[in-house]
Amino acid sequence: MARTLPDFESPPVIETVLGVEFSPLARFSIPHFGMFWQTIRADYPNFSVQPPLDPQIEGAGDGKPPKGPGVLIRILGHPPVRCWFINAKNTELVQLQSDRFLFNWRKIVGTEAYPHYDDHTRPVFCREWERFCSFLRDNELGQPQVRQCEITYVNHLEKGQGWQSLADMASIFPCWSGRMTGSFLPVPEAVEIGSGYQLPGGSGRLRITIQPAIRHTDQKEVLQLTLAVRGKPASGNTQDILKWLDLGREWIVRGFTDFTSEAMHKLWRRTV
Amino acid sequence: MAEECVVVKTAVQWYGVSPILSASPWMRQAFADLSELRQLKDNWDGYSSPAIESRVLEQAGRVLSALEVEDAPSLSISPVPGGGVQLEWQCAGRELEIEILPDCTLQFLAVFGGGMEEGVVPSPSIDVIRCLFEWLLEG
Repeated sequence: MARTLPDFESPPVIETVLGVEFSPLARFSIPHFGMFWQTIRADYPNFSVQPPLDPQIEGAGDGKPPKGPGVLIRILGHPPVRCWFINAKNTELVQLQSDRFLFNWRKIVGTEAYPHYDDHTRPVFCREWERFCSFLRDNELGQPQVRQCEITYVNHLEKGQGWQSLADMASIFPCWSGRMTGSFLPVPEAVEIGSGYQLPGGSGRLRITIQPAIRHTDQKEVLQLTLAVRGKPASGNTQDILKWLDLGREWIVRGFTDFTSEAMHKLWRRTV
Repeated sequence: MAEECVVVKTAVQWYGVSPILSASPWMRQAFADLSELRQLKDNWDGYSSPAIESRVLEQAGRVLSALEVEDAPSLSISPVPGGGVQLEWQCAGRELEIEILPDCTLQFLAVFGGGMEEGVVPSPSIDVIRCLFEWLLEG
């Protein structure tokens, strides 16, 4: 497929997440996790039980700063459980709770090529979301009242690949100069950056965060660059969800390209 | 097969990471020690033990990340025949071992005075891990 957005032969993305948040399904309870798993088990043979995600609804994009988490009230009666359904290669995951449906792809470092959004992650998300909606219909559990969609790209910039210390931050991220007024402070031990950008028409918000971290799979030091867009689609039907995800993904790709330096683009072999 | 998993955060992200700012010196050393285990090849013990899989090391990293303390007793990290990893602490007459099995399930052994207690850590198990560590520090 011809690429129209900025594209890289060797991007640092190691995980992508596409998802939908909806009003809690009143009749969805513990047995339904297992029933749904039976419908996808051939593709996702492993499972794991996790604590549920808290709601993360973005504001309306009215120019006011985004609110913090505040006081969270979880409606009693809904199972405080999130189930992970994992494929055999340990690269794809469906996350399900009574008000959330997410599809993750992740790279097992060093072995997996990045599957493009149009070619893989979008159609697989679409397939699994349709399977979930179909399951709800078949079992008379109601249809999700969609409150928000989300798309997240997690990038790992490994130490030694374009940077050696945090003194090199300015050569990766043009927004960071690293300059000080005086000379008292040494090179920082860590730099964490968070920024937010409104999408047009109040359709959502892009959040970009940078966090130095140690990756658990191989204990390597990385700069974790996360771009996440959340917002409300025009309606809860699948076509509108996909249309919103396309917009969110465009903002992530263009945002990533703006946020990172041309020197890093060369390292990641930019082609478009 | 169920994949047991310790959870250290509730985020949409699957990849486990520990932010540098919240990683104390002992934890950084622990991650360096885990990284050494990554170098082990098949038959590392001469008895046909397999190399330790990434997911086992990832699970060990998640256990360590659950221990949000600045100072910790001396930690010993060692490979276990069969492809597991053992974390072992000793503190004032108490000893705590957490073993990550090759299928990523967790077992613990707590030794005190003349007694001991062992068991399987259920999933999701962050609270159990923290309780065990608090017990160790109270020794």
